[in-house]
Amino acid sequence: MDTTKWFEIRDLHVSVEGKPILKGLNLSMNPGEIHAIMGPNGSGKSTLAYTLMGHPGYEVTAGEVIFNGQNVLEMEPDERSRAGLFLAFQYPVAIPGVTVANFLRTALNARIKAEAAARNGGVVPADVKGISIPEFRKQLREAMRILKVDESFAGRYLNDGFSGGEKKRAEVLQMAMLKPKIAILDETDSGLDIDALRIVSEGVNTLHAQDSQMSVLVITHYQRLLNYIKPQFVHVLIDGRIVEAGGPELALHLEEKGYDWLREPEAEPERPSR
Amino acid sequence: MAVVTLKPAPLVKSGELTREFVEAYASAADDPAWMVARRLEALRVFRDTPAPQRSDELWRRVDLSAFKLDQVLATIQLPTGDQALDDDARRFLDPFIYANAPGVVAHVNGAPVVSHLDEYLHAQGVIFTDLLSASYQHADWLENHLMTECVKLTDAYFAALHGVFMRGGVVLRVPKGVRIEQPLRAATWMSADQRAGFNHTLIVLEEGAQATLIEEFASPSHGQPTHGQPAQVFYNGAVEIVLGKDAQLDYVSIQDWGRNVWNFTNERAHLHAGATLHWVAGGLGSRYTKSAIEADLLGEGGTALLSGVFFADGKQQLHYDTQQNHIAPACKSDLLYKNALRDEARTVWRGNIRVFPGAQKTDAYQANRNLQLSSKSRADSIPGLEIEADDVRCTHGSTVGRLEEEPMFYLRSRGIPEVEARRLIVEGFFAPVIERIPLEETRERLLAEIARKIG
Ligand SMILES: Nc1ncnc2c1ncn2[C@@H]1O[C@H](COP(=O)(O)OP(=O)(O)OP(=O)(O)O)[C@@H](O)[C@H]1O
Ligand SMILES: [Mg+2]
Repeated sequence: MDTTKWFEIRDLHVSVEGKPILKGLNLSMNPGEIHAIMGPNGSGKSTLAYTLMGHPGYEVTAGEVIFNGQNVLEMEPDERSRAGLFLAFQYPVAIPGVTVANFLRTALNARIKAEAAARNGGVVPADVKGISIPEFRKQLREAMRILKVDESFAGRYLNDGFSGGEKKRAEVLQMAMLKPKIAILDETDSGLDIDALRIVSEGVNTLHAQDSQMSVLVITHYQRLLNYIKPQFVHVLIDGRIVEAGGPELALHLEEKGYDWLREPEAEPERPSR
Repeated sequence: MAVVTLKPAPLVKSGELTREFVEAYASAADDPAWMVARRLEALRVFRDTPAPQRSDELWRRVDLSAFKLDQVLATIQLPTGDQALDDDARRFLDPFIYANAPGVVAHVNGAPVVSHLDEYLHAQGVIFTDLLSASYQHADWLENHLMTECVKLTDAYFAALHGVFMRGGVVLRVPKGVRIEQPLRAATWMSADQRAGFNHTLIVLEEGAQATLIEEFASPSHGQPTHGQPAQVFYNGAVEIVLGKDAQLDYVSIQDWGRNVWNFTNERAHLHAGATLHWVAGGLGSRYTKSAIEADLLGEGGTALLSGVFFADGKQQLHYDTQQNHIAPACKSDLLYKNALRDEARTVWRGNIRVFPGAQKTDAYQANRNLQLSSKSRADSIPGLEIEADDVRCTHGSTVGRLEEEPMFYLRSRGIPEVEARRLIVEGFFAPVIERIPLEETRERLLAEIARKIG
C-alpha cells in the first residue's frame, strides 16, 4: 500500500556551496492544514523554502519531495509554481522597470498558456488568449482590497524601492492572485508593524477560507503571528533536522523557553504538556 | 636621413567616384539645379576627406574588414521613381500609411510613397514633406539649411559621402509659435534588392514652436545573395535638428535594418536659448552601426535629454559616439543609453561631455547601462569629460551587468517560464527609456521586437 501523503518531504538532504544545511528533514501535510516551522537563525528554514521552490543554488544530495503524486525535485521552479507551490520570500527581489500589474498578468498568463498546452499535447495553441484586461483588473482589485493595498501599487515597479512592509504585503498579494495549493510563508511577519501584521494575516486567513484545501507552511520566529494564523502543527527545525513536533502549544513553549532545551540532547528536557 | 612614413591603411575604400556618375545619379533623382551643385560640392569635399583609419580614436574598436564599400558603391543603382510595394514593405508601412497622425511621410528605396500633412498645419506655414518635394517647393529655404549649419559636409567622411548621395527623408519646419500636439510620423523601407540608402532628416523648429516626430527605419534581413553571400547594403544617413529659442522637440528614431545593412549616420542637434530636446534613439537591426550623435547647447537655458535603447544579438555590432557640447551657460544635458546584448554581439558606447569656457552653471550627466545576456557578448563603455569652465556639475556612470540569478529565480517561482522571465527583466531594464517614447504604438512595436529578439 502506498502511504505517501498529499505533500511529503522525505529524508531531505541539501547542501549550499558544498556545505550540508538540511540533514535528513521529514515533514508531511494534508490538504487544508496549517503548519508552522520555527527554529533558530541559520537552522535551515529558508534553505528548506528555497529548495522546495527549486532555487538552483540549493543542491539536493538525498531525499524526496512528493506533491500530489509528482516528484517535485524533478520540476523546474516555474513548473512547481504552476503545479500549486508558492513561496512568499523572506527577502523579495526587486525587478526594476517591471510593474506589479505587468508582472502579475504575465504570471497568470503563463498559467493559462501552460494549461492550454497541457490539453494540446504540450504545444500552446495559437488562439489561446491571456486573461482579459477587465477580468485581470477585477481580480487584482479584489486582491488589493483584501490586503488593503493602495491602487497605485499596481503601477509601481515590483519590490523596487518598496519598504520592508510593502514587500511582505506584495508577496501575499501575489499569493492572492496565484491561488496556490501550498503556500510557504518565510518570515512574512518580519518587518511588519502591528497593523500590517494583522492585515496580512487576515489576508492569508481569508484566502484559506476561500480555498479550504490550501495548505500553509508558516516559517516564523514569533508566536505573535501564530495568534493570527493558527497552525494545527508546529515543527522545530534545528541544524537541518526537525527535532520536535507538536501542536500550537509548542510555539508558546518555545516563546518562553527558547531553543536551548532542544539543542542539547544530554540535558534533561522539560517537555511541554500536551 | 630619409624619413619613412608608413601610410596608414584606411578602414574602407570607396573606389573611384566619378563626377559623371554623380551627375547621372542627380538627373535620375530628378534634382533641381541647386541640389546637383550641392552634390558636386559634396563630391569635392569627399575626395579631400581621408577615410577613417584604425589610428583614429573614434574608429579604434571598429572592424570593417568584411565591409566592401567600393563594391557597394560600384553597384549602386541610379534612383528610380515609382516603387512597387511588396508584402514586406506593406506590412511595415501600413501602420504608418493609415496612422491617425497629422502628418505622415513614408519612403521606399529613397522614393516618397506618402507625403501627407493636415491642411490646418499647412495653413499655419508648417512644412512636413519628403526631401525631393521640399527641394522644389521650398528650394531657397532648403538650400540655406541643408547641410549648411548643423551637420556639414566637412564634418566627417560619411557626412561628405552622404552629401553626394542623399536622397529620401523628411523635412520638417515649424514656424514661430506653432505647436503640433500629435506626433508626426515618418517611415523608411529599403527592399531586399536595394544596395544603398541615404535618407536625410532635417528638422527646424522656430522660436517657441513645438513638435514630435517619430521616425522608423527597416529592411528585410533576407537580402538577395550575390555569389552565395548575402549582399551587403550600405545605409548612410544624416539627421539635422535646429531648435530656435524656446522651441520644444520630441524626436524618436528607431532603426530595425536587416542584418546585412552596414549603417553609418551623422546626427546633430543645435539648441538655441531655452530650447528643449527629448531625443530617443533605438537600435535593433543592422549588421554594423556607427552613429555619431551630438547635441550642441548654443544658447542659455537649453535642455537636451538623450535616451537610447539598443539590443544587439548574433554578430551585430552597434557603436554609438555621443557628444554633449555645452557651449552656452546654464544648460542641462542628460544622457541615458541602454544596451542589451546576447550571443556574440558587441556594443561600444563612447560618450563625451564637453563644457566650453564660459559655460558656467552647466548641469551635465551621462550614463550607459549594459545588460549582457551571454558571456560571449561584449560591451565597451567609454565615458569622457572635458571641462573648461569652473562652476559646473558634470557626472557620469557606466555599468556592465549580467542577467542575475536571483531576479530570474524570483520570476520563475511565480510560474513564469525562463524565456519570458528573461523578457520581463530585459523589458524592465529598458523601461525607463521606452517610457520616454510619446506614442503607445511605437512603444508596443519596440517591445514586440525586443521580445522577438529574446526568443
Ligand atoms: N546562498 C547561500 N550561500 C551560502 N550560505 C548559505 C546560503 N544560503 C544559506 N546559507 C547558509 O545555510 C545556513 C542556513 O541558512 P538559512 O537561510 O536556511 O537559515 P534560516 O533558518 O532561514 O535563518 P534565519 O532565521 O536567519 O532566516 C546558514 O548557515 C547560511 O549561512
Ligand atoms: Mg530564513
